[in-house]
Amino acid sequence: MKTEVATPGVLERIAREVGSWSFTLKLGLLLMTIIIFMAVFAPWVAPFDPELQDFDVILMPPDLTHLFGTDNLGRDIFSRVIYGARLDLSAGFLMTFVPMVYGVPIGAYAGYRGGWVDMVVGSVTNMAIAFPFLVMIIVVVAVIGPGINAIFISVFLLGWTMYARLARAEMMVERTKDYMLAARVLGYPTRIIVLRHGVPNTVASSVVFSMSDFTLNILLLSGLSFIGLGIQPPTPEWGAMIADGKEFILQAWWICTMPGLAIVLTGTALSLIGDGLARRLGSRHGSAG
Amino acid sequence: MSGSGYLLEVEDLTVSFATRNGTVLANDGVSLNLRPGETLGIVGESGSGKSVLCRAILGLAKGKVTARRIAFDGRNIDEMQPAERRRLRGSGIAMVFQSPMSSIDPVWTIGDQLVETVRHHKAISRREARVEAAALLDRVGIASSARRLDDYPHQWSGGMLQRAMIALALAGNPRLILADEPTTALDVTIQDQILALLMSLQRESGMAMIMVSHDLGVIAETADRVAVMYAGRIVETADVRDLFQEPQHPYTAGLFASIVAGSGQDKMLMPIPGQPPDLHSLPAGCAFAPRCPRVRDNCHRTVPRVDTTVARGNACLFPLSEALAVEQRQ
Repeated sequence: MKTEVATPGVLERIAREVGSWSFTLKLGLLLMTIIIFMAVFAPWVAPFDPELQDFDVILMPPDLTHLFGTDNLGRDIFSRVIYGARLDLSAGFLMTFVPMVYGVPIGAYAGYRGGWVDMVVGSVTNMAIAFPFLVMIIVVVAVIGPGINAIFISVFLLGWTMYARLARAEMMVERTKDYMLAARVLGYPTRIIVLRHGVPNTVASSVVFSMSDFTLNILLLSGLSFIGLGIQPPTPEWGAMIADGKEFILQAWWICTMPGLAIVLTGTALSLIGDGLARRLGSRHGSAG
Repeated sequence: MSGSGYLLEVEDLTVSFATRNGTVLANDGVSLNLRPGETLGIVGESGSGKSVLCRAILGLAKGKVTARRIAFDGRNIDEMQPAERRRLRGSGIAMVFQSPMSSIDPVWTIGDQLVETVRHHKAISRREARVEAAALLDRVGIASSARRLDDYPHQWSGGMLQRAMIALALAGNPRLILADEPTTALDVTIQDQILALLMSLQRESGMAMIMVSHDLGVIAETADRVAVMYAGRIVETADVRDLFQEPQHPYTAGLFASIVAGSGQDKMLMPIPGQPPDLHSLPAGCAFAPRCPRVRDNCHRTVPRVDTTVARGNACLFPLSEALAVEQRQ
């Protein structure tokens, strides 16, 4: 009897869970795992130092030594793309999930409470969504100078609003359900009801959206670096690398193309995961009825 | 224990909702009393204010709630601090809902939710709470309870989920259970099991129960005393046997005449003519007057109120005599 009360096989539960994933989700996760693996183990995976300038091999097209070719300073683009992944992935991750962590509870709480709380949160999110992001970042850059911190500050100030909106909309539906009332009848305080029962039931659409948001944030970071407001050279970053290569695009297409392809591949992997999650989370909610 | 000896006292409770089309009176001057261990049946058709009454007792009704007094165990609920009121919910009064499928959170396992609730009431470790959760499922008759703790709600049938809901309600050892149509959403074969379970748990622990139902059969089976509601008002209250033997209010009599008696007698079903009144604009006098076969002029002028302090009361100016009641049923 006593042993039965212990949690049953964790491995078995994981296996059952993985078995229910769609091909899309598996493929996306596989691609993403490879990308993350290369980024984490960059010093071992990358064949060259990303900032090493070798003037004997300037503007070399892709070959077996330099898989992605070299740029105008003789740096190995394959190595720079791999090191760039470290920055783009970790920055994209923070830009996506830090705002999500407070955006979802704020939205869920607003949707649960309704009334003036909801009105205040609703007005703030609408203002933030209407506010042009580039203006925001230029203001922040003007104050603290260009770089990753300016981007973080702007995104943390504005990025949570989409999550708040999504969570609020779902919470408006969930709060009318009996289990919310049941939780109140059992005497739970609002904090527990919103965090333990509200957020898990409203987070699905935010999780799906976060995958697109992740891609958009990587594009945003690259875009800002491309126009010179983000990562400063010589740090390898995909957008900055594309910016570096744009003068040579006619002689050396690979300087722009290779980091561009890295962005496309990452975006594809994230979108596949997003699609797969949408189906996975959707089906659980469907069968719960 | 309070001087009155009542576990729950509700005096002159009125709940109204402001809607676009005016004010809806969902409960109008409802009074009731409940002794420890007693079962009060509340019967009435849809929209008569039964569920609103339950929510108002817990302080969870949405609209505007006024009452001269709602007291649990002699203590006025209105005067309680929010934290105290939360403690009352769950550990003083618990509730079982109509649709078990939607009243349990779909994203957590049954065990998670039981453990959470057990630990909400008692400061014990996760592991101890898990043992207790399994014991609770045992009590409500879930076989191999320990293994089923890790099931998700969607893996369970409605009847099993209703048992789980009852287990959740029991976790705080409540002294009063509000059962809001606990069997309405279930298969007929399961209904009896759930009722039997509720009654045996009640005998074990001495809880009082308010059994809300539109089903007179359910009421007959479970209740000691019955309050009949119509259009947000209590129109008759009596001992269950008295009520079934001789209903005094024409509405109660109409209810009996309109149910299918399973005994195979050649009795015509007599539906009550007309519709329940629009709660936006109740008739000036007795709310049942427009449908009442015994209506007289006076009925349209004064609102009769039931006296809930006596064992047997009705809100009718011209209640059915015993003879008439017999005639009506034949």
